[in-house]
Amino acid sequence: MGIYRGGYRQYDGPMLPAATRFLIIAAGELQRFRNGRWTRRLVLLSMVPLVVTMVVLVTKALVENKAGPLPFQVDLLGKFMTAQVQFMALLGATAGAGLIAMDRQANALSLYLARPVSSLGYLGGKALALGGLFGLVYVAPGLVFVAVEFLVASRPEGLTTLLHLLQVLVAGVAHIAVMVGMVLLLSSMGKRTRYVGLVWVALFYLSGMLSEMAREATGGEDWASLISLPKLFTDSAGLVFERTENSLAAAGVLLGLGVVSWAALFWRLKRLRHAAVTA
Amino acid sequence: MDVGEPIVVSGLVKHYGRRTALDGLSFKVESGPAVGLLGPNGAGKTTLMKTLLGLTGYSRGEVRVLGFDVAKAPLESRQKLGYMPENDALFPDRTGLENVVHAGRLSGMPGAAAFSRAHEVLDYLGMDEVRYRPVEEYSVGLKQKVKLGAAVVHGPKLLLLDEPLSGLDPGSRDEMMSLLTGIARSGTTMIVSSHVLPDIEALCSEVLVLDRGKVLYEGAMSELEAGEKGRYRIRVKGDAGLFRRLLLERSLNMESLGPSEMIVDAPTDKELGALWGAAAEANCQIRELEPARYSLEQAFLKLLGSRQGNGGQSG
Repeated sequence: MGIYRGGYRQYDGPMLPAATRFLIIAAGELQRFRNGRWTRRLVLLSMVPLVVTMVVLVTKALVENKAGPLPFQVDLLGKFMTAQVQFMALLGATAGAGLIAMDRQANALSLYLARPVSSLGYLGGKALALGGLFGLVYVAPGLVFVAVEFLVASRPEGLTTLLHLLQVLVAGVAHIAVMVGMVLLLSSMGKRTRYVGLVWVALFYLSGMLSEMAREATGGEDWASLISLPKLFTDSAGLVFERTENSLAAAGVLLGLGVVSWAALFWRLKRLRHAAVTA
Repeated sequence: MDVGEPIVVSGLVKHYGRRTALDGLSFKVESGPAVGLLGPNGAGKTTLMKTLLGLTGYSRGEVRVLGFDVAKAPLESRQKLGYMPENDALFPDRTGLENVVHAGRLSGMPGAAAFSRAHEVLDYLGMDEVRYRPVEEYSVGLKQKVKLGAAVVHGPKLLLLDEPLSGLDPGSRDEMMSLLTGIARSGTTMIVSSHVLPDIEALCSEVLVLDRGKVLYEGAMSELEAGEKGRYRIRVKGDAGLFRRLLLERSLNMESLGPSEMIVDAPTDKELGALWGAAAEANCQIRELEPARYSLEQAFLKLLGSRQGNGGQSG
């Protein structure tokens, strides 16, 4: 039997402002990410490119210290961010796919929306959690890269370091915002986390395959790159260094995808809100 | 803090395309008595619930919940509102305790307060060690308790309950009714939506009956169930069969309820006299004689029938 036998009583204690609810939602989802076996494994695995890149950076610095600048240049940061985008995409499948889909499957939307939680707060909490996870594998390692690159460089160039920092921060945040929007939109359209994850992975990687096929079919036309999601992320990241037609077009398409995804997501949530009660 | 009357609705109109779901609905729910929300399918109960919860907009009218305009201050209106849905609105991978704590935090309770209050509520609901098990392992009865716990953890002043006794066995139903009665006694106003009229009879003292988006009846259940004047429920001791035949010979309308129980129409003194005369002639004792009342189901059906016949006069 229960310890407290005084019967039911009202609660008249303190209540936090409604503006903080998104933090509660984000904290709940981060806890769920921590409990996810594949999510934990992917986050650990995402550190491998960072370790490899660190080794390359240090080795390059040592060689340049002894023998002078190398005759070739490699865009290490670009390659590194390309690798991390893959991990973001996979985490989108393991962690992001269920963010709204699980709530729909468990009929738990009314748990959120029948409380003093706005649509913005609900989406904000989910986006903050997924964005934080993406930041952990995309922006945070990128910042470590820039810091180590500056520290080990035989002749540190402040401008290069600054541009790299900008690339990581600006491209990183923009890429995260777009991918979060796309993943949440897909999650809002399904109820089975596994299927939503599969659809997301298929979309992401099949778009790359289709792009390659289009390039071969058209003899290497540039527009074919705009079909590939992985290439859009890679090419738009280079915008900080060099404004080429490719990087501008990629950034434009990605931005458009992001805007459309977020707009569709808000519209979708409005419909889900309406269907949350089925008395 | 004076939160005003729990619910005030005036001239509420809601359209879904060309269909009118709520047609100028106006009613008030005052603090205190539990109110049953009744109506046939398509009456507008679901739409009304969604409107009170701020989950859907409306075309015209005003809806105030706990003193707040739902359209202008939706978050404030839900601050002290609790909702127990009909379906399984729980996180299956979390324990009962985690579900209730999370519900409390989503309502705005600080973490420590939500945790201790969740334990208090689960104690009240009689959930001991089971609160630490994942909800997906729970029976229907336990899930209903967790849903109720999630609905009341933040101490709402107004509680919306959608089929709270659905799927429960008789023992669990009695237990849930007792829990809800205890909550009502604390000063929480309850609105209970159910298709099971005996549940409404057991829990509520007032009813709001909707039909085709309009209020058909709003008020005390006792008045709705009151029978017509001159209609009596009688229980006799003796030869009930002979008594019935004598009643019919005296042209008295009679409806049998059981071997020695019946309802008799005797609106005038003459007919009352004929009734007593029949009892004397049959050598029967009239052990009970009281004004006949309808059950809620009978009253509800009568109300719907009269609406269809008269084109919609409200009670």
